[in-house]
Amino acid sequence: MRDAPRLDSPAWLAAVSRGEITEGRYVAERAARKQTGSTGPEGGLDAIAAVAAIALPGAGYLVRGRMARGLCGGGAVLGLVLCGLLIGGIDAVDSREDKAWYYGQMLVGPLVFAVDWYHQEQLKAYPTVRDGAAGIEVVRGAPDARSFRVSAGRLAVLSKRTVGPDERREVVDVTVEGTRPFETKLAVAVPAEDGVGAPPNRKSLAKMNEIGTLYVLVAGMMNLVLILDALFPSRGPSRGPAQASAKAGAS
Amino acid sequence: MIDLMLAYRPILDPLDLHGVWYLLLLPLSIMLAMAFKAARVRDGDDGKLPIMVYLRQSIVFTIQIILGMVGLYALALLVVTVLLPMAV
Repeated sequence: MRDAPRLDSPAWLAAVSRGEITEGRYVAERAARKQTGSTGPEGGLDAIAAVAAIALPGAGYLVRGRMARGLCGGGAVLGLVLCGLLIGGIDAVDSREDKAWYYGQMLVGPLVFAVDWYHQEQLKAYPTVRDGAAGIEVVRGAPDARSFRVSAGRLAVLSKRTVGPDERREVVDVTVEGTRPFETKLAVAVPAEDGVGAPPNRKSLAKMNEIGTLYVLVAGMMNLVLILDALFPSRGPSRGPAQASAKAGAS
Repeated sequence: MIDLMLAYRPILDPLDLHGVWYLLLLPLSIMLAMAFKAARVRDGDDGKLPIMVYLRQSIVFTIQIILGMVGLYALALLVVTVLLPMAV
């Protein structure tokens, strides 16, 4: 059934316009294909194409052999993501600080998960105690020697943040104090007092953050359209016999 | 260090285009139209995506999106600067 011609294929439409296929036969054929749960282009689901579309924007079309659609659709979605990241920086994708937006951005697929993982795990850092704000305590020892410590309770409520413009990110050994103290490696934002180092990224603010976030969100929405089109190949823009006849009459 | 911080690092840092932010809606509209029309344009007689039809429909849809945004802006401007002052 998968190889059956599409009901809106040029051959079918030409036959309809010539009167060789009646509208009644057209409707009956369409109903029959739906009733049999055909996995062909006119009915059923194409799960493989849908999985491919979720994995990579536009890949659903490529799996179905529709190269031009896949390249145009997937290229546009990936272009939206790339432009969003170029405009708003990597801060445009943030599952912790912009959670509601991230739910829509997730529809782009694994690419956005990877970007968010890199942002959260490789760029953000725990704050150190500065100006009375809560954070990981820096213990000064001998000159050029310092250690870091934090209570287990405080660590549980601390969250990572973007490293500030006058800070740098360091992965250090931190003593977690509690009933059973232990040492662990954590990324902390330490003041760049000696002027060495720079933050790994800059936080985007105002319009640049809004527009960058919007780009990636629109990419997610558009990729949902592509995923649904890959999953339901029969639910795309259909061309019925009446329209076909009108088109044939016009030409 | 100041020089280093001012240098733009693609993807890591945001662009500094706050003064012309509205121009960034143009590529957004273009790519949105391209993605949407890739799913909506009908197959040609050869069963493939007709590229010229696709491009034409994408351009038309881009213009429609931009006109829609300009229209919403004009409507909001009318409400805020004319209708609300009259009502207050």
